[in-house]
Amino acid sequence: MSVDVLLDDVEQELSALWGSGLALPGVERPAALRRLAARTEAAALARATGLLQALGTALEEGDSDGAFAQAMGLAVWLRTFRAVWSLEVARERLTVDTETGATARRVAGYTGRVRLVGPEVRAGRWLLHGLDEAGRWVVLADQPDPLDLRDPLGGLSTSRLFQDHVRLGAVLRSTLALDDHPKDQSSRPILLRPAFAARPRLQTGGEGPQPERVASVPRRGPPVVVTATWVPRPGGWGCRVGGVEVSLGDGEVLTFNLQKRWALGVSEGRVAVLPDGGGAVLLSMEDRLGDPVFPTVDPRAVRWDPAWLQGRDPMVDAWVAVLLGADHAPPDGASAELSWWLGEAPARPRAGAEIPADPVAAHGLVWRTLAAGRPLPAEWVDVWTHSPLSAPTPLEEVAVRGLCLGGPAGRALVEAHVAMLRRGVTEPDLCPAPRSLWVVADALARLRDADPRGRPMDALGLPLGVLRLAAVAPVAEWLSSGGPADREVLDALLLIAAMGDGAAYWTGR
Amino acid sequence: MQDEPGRAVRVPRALERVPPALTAVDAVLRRVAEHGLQRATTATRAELQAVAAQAHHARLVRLERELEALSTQLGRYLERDPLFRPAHWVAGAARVWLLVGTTRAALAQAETPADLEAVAGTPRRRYVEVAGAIEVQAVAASGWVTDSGYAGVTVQLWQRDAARWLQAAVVRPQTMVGAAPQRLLRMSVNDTLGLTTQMLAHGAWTLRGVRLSQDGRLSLHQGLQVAAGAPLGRTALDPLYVASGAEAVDRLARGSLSPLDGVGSVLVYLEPVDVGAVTMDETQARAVSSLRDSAGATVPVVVSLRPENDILIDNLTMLASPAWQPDGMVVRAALSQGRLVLHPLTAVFLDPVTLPGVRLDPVHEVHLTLEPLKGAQR
Repeated sequence: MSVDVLLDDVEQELSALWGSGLALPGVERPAALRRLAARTEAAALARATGLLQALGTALEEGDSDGAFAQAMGLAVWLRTFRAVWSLEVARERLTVDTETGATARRVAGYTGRVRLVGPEVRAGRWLLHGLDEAGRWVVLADQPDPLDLRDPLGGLSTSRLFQDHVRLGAVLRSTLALDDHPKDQSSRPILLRPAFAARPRLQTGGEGPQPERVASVPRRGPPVVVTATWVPRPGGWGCRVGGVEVSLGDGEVLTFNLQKRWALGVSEGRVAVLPDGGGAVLLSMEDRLGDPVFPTVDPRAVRWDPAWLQGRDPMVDAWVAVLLGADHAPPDGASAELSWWLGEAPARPRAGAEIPADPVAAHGLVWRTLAAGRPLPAEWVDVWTHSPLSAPTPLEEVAVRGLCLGGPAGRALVEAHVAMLRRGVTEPDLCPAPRSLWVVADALARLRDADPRGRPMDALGLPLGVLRLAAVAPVAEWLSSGGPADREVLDALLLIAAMGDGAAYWTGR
Repeated sequence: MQDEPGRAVRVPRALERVPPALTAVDAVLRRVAEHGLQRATTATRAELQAVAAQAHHARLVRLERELEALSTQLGRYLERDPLFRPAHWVAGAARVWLLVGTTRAALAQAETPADLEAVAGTPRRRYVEVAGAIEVQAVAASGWVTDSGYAGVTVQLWQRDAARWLQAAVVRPQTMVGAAPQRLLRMSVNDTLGLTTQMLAHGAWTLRGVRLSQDGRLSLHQGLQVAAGAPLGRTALDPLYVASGAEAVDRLARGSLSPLDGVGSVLVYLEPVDVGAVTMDETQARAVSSLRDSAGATVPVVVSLRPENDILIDNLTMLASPAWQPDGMVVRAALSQGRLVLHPLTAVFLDPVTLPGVRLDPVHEVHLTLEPLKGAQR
């Protein structure tokens, strides 16, 4: 007789007891319980046997308290044992069903360790090029979110490939261990995309094969190491490898870095490139310490030592102090803006001064008044809020009018012009003069009650790469020429200060 | 209760009510047991309802609910309702008896009503604010319809930083969406977030302003902030993973043995070797398929033939075809008539699937009660 039937019978007996009641159970109940106890004993269910016997005895003796406790105990035992028994039966039935072994359906993925050579970043996608232990070319594709353009190597990005928040810099310094990672079967190189059930693990250290060192860049193939010479060209930069011109594209970060490198007089270096049908993608470059840097991605890849900028011109020295956040007294003849950046309130304009019609001069007067913490005279406001706008409107005029209007109206006016500016500035050649950009960014910060010494350029929403290039060229030319710093250089340094990242991106600190 | 000799500590009023309530419940249960159901009358039912009310006032929520269930059972017995089951009565009475005993034991240690909550239950969930951000990954979702007129979608979320399960539910009256929980997929989870239920059910999220209940319910309140998080992929399913049906039984065994808190089902993730064809069992109004696990054992998949399961049954039919064999399935495992049976929630595909008619990136999980596979592309 099966245990299931026995358990059903115990349940029925309990139901019968609950039906008749423990006080007047009927004469047949104790005997029925004894018979059931004998069956549970035969089935080696000792706990049930004890409970059934005790229940029968309590009923015979008219001990309703004892009978109640035993009946409840039996019901709890039944519930618990039935759960255990069902599990055993279910397990046994599964085992009985097991006749045929399973067969794996999945195609084996890629397993190996990959040492990265460098990244290619295109439209927000990462293509990480590397070589595995067998020297095979492996590419890992990812679309991280968000890619921090201020700090692509150090910023935290959410990666589908790594299934985690990662820093590109940490990834590039690591060896990637892959275990059965799905791969594109047909492609060469081995292309690995974000997968659901696999992810690369970052490991430190470990040597691996280096890209082959060649004299010229082949048309296609895995990354190679070449010695390249940088050549400034009208409208961009060229690169010569083994006497042959190789196009490296016109990435803003690369151009920014090559401008800095060229200003140092360093025009040759060993680089790892990816052949690209007659051109090449620069993956990494050896820096002065022999470590690889990634100049297409990292604005800090080529560093300027502040010492190279300092000691040539007192105004530049003062601006470098601003960039580094160091204490520095304004030199004789410093502009009002430079003094203000160094922490000195500019001199108040004399009382009763008339505001000029020229927007540049008018802005100077308005800015100095506000920077000195004074309100604008009513007659200035009257002049600049009632005159018609010029066409096209210089940014200085926008700033003066916005500051004179003040409040929401002034802010709306400046924001409308900034929106137009944002649409128009798509490349460095279309970028207004650095000083004009600072004027409007400063005005917007004041109208928004933000800190004008913070990062006022951020509020303009202009492409970071365009701004960097607008600022780097005059400084680089001044560095390489060895001449005195002109107004253009000082304005570029003003722009860098207003971008708020001078120390990080210009000197690598 | 005393904290120093001679000085009595004031017992909270709710705790003062507990001992008389337990005594009353015990007495009524004992009286019903002694007299037997044959001698029970509507007065007996009124007694049960009275002690249920006493349990309510003493904040003995679980005991109150069990007593109300017993009272309903007794009503059926008195009305000679064929739905009355003596076995259910016996089990219910045993649970009440156990609850009285465990509550007495807990009361001896309790100093505040909160100390009793684990045993006595709470009248409604309390949501507690969580500081900072939490990272979650949606791994399964299912649609459901209640007899009381609501339709809902429950999303199972894995919280990676705390290694625990959370559930988020979007519920609307059927007067709004009909008996079709899939319509909730396109709705925002609340009035302020631009996040639809379907988006929440796919992907990883960083949540701020989180309010959680003790049992892992996530409040989708208006102060919740949601940003895309780092997808965990298959790793999020690791805690649910069982290699075979036998391991699913083991999981059930872990929760089934407590006579008070025993669970009827568990959520597991299986990687089946294949999915069997769907057959209709009209006599029991259910569709039956099967999964063959990695050990070669065949485990039945059972879905009741209800309108809200139409999409699920169509999807199961497709999953049986070679082109749509899933790489894994999140299922609810339970025992029925001595067999392990599975109810599928979500199919997992290692190669992503583009769902038809939705603005979503290709997904790895297809929520089978909600998202038709017909028209999808791999």
